[in-house]
Amino acid sequence: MAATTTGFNACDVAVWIDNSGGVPTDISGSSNNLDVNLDNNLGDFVVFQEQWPKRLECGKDAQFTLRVVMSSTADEGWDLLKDWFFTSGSPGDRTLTFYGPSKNVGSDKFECEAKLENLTWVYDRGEPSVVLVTAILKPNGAVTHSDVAT
Amino acid sequence: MAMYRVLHTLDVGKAGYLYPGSFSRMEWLDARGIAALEHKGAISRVHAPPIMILPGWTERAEILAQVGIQDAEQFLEAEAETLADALDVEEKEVEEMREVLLTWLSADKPAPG
Repeated sequence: MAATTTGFNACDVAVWIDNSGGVPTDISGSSNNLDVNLDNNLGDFVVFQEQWPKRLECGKDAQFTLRVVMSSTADEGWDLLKDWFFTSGSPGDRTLTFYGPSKNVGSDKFECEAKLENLTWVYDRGEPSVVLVTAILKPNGAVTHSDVAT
Repeated sequence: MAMYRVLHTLDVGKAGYLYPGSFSRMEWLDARGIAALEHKGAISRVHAPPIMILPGWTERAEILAQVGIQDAEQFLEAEAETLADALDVEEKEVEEMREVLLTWLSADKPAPG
């Protein structure tokens, strides 16, 4: 088996989220980690005289854990997430789109309408580096995948 | 420019998506972009069928063969004016024939979900 020559890292991943005006906004410059969990829901069962379980599948789900840098510029990751959470009433859905290994032709594009479940961060006097904010997003509907062709 | 069959769902920006089974010239991409998608298995070059075998195209194919048009790719790529002159029809009719041809070559759009 030949060793792959096309492995890639996450240096040029691009993350976009709608701002409050519904405009897709590139927050790649103010985020540095996106943990993606795609789940295929399985139900298992065993029957008499069999050692191994059988499994049925029904439905899919996902969760995205996004880490952004706390900054003071409008429409960067922190501003956008903060604005989303503190929208009066329900925060509602925003489009989450991310591309890997980059946004160039041939890259993977994943997209969904997402809800913001959780925002966490720590103000630590003893930490000289930037404050990092973690957001948990969950899709409201399907997550789609396509290949970038523009 | 060559014809390509779409094998993965492709994001084509404001134009939306191209779905697996559809057919495109990918004319907005440069050679490098096309190579990237081919390398990934997202598109593949189409080996277009001869137009002679298309239903109702026998007589038309015989005429077009005289101007060197023998397969679907050549028909889609040729100047509309050349085809219109050869077939003695309006260019608009040539475009309609192309639409029909593209429909035959393309798979149905997948159902949502």
